[in-house]
Amino acid sequence: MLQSALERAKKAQEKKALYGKDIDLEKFIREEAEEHERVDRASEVPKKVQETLLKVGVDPTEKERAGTFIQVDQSCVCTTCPSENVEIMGMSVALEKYGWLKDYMWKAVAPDTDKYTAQTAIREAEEGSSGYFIRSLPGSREVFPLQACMFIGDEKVMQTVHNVIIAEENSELHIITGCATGEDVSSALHVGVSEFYLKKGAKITFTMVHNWAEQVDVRPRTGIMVGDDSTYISNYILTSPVRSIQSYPTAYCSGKNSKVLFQSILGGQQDSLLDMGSRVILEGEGSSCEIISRVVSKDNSQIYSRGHLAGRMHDTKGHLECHGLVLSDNSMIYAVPELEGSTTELELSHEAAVGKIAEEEVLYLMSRGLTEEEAASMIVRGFLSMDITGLPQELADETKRMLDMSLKGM
Amino acid sequence: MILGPKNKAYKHEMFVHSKIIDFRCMRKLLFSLPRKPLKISDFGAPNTSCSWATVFGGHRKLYFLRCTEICSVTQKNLRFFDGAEKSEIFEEIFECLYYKTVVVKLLLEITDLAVEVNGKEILSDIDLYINKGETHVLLGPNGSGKSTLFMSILGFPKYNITRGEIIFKGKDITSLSTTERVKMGVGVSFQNPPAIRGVKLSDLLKIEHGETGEELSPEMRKLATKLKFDEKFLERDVNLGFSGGEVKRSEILQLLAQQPDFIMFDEPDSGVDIENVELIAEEINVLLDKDKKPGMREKSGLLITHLGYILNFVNADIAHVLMDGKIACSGNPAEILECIRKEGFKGCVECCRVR
Repeated sequence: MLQSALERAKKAQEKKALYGKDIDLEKFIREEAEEHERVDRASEVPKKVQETLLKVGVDPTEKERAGTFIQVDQSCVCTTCPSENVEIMGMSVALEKYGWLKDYMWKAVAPDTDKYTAQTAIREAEEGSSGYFIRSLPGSREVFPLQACMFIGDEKVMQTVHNVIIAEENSELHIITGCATGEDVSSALHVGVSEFYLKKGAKITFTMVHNWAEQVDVRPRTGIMVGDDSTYISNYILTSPVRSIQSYPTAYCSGKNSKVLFQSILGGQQDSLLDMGSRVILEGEGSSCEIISRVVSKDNSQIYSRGHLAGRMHDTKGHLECHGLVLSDNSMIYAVPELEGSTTELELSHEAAVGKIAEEEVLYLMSRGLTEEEAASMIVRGFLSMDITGLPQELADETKRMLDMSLKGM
Repeated sequence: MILGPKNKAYKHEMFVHSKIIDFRCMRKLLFSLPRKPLKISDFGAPNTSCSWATVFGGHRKLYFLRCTEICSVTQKNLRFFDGAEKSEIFEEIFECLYYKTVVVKLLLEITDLAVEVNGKEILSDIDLYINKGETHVLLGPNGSGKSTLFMSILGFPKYNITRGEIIFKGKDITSLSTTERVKMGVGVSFQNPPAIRGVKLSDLLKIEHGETGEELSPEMRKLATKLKFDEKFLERDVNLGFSGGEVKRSEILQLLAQQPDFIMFDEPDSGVDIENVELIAEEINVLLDKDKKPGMREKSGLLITHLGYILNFVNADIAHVLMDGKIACSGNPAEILECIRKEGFKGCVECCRVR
């Protein structure tokens, strides 16, 4: 299987991605996996890294965490897993442990999707796997989240990771992932391939905070296979500047009564070029989904907010919602909601609105003593701080705190 | 000039030239003053638009309102003016008023105000003077300009002041922003405030109360409980899905956090059931120092109501009737309300126009 993936990848080495500006991969360094020292717990990673970890919701004290995975550049530097309900480990370790794991690789994301997936597949074959493997055991219900962090520490690095996440039957799994860059990194590339598999009755919540630097390009590639009666919830938060990010995760609701919810909060600052979408293929009977995004563009940021719902089976239902605020004349929000119905008995809808801050709301807050700027920023923060649903109470509170923290810079 | 800046008084030449007050008549007038408010036009100057001063009185007393002071003239004072030249009288009357009468600091002075919205004049010739510790009520039919006056005092940008001035605490605020006015002590309770998604009521209360802590202070929590809000309600997005009563109570709670010196209430009783009206009125009375003796009151208010129902629970000192963008009459709230109830707004205004 991996051999055929490699062959397909090689053919796609020059294949440009459908969206986003093209990146010359030759400009980046392919660092080795042993470059950074391994530690036993998250609190032992360098102080500078720890501070950044906190910003993306990854707690170095590992309090109330089911497990931790930290990767710096291409090296897995720390994995811990106190919980007995879940497993978290580096992919290379996992591949040695589980012979069957390779059957899950490149099934939800095609290796020849574009040059980025191709590069990841080729590096994986040539240099060994990088990225994490997470699995919840059948019937388990872990209330504490697993935390994973992809960190770029060195200049001009190309980080390619390949993650596989499996939720076994009737299990529940919560994951917080943060991606960040060291302060002194001025240019880097992150390519993250993530494949999710939800078996019957499983539930995954995946909360991701991105905190990249101004000169980092990011190309995540995500595929999610959602089985019978299972639920996948994704919360994505990006409010800090980044050079470019392009991603279009696709969830395949092939199981009966499967459910998917994508919630994204995007704050574009400075010269950020964001091209973010979510796609759900409703191909299981009774499957349903919701894609909600809140987008704010400031400075010179250009934001494409895409969404695609494809209804291919009876009794499916989907709703797409994108609300945007354009806050500067030099910025742009381009909302592209797409609905595709190719059978009868389905219900797809979308709601998109791009506009300005309501003057009435600003005046209301000004009449409470806020200045115009304070009022506007309060409204923007409120606009972006949507309710994160589907998380256990404590995690929901924590996510809310993370969100509040991310929004402080807006 | 003792009262106010000298040049200001002379700027308004209309006073001198339009023979507003014939002092010989005035003595007579004082004896025959009707039991209702009078305007300058009542003193034999039908052409003047009473551009800078309002005179009203009753009970053998005249009130001169201008610039920063409110003064009253009694019959006794008037002997000074017999036989004097008009311009001298003009000087003297104010000196006399200054020394011989009670001088009270005005909180809000609106003089000769005209306001345009989208190029259309909505208000004109508005003179309104509100004293420290006083509560005024603004009555008038729908569309008469009550809310426009309210928004103009608040300084909302859509309301373009084409003439006149608004002075608050002795400072011209006509060109100040809403934020600056609010910081000076103007407060407001809106009739239909907008819902703001993601902005919690507790967040607003913290800002209004000047709190920086993570949690809302016990003091504010106590006030919230008094207004029948539980902890959960405070975490709701402000005005989002609030009922009519909840909107009004939340507005009052926010004012309690702010503690402004001058508060405008836009229809605080509309869309509220009887039980809530009493609760709201109780807190309005607290906000307006009604629990103190009249002389001790520091806070002032302007109530906007077209039904006057709230006046059953909140005592107002002076009522003004706004008709077609002008203050048609001012006076005792109970009498004016009674008149409106009997004869409608038109009838009430007619009877005020004593010529």
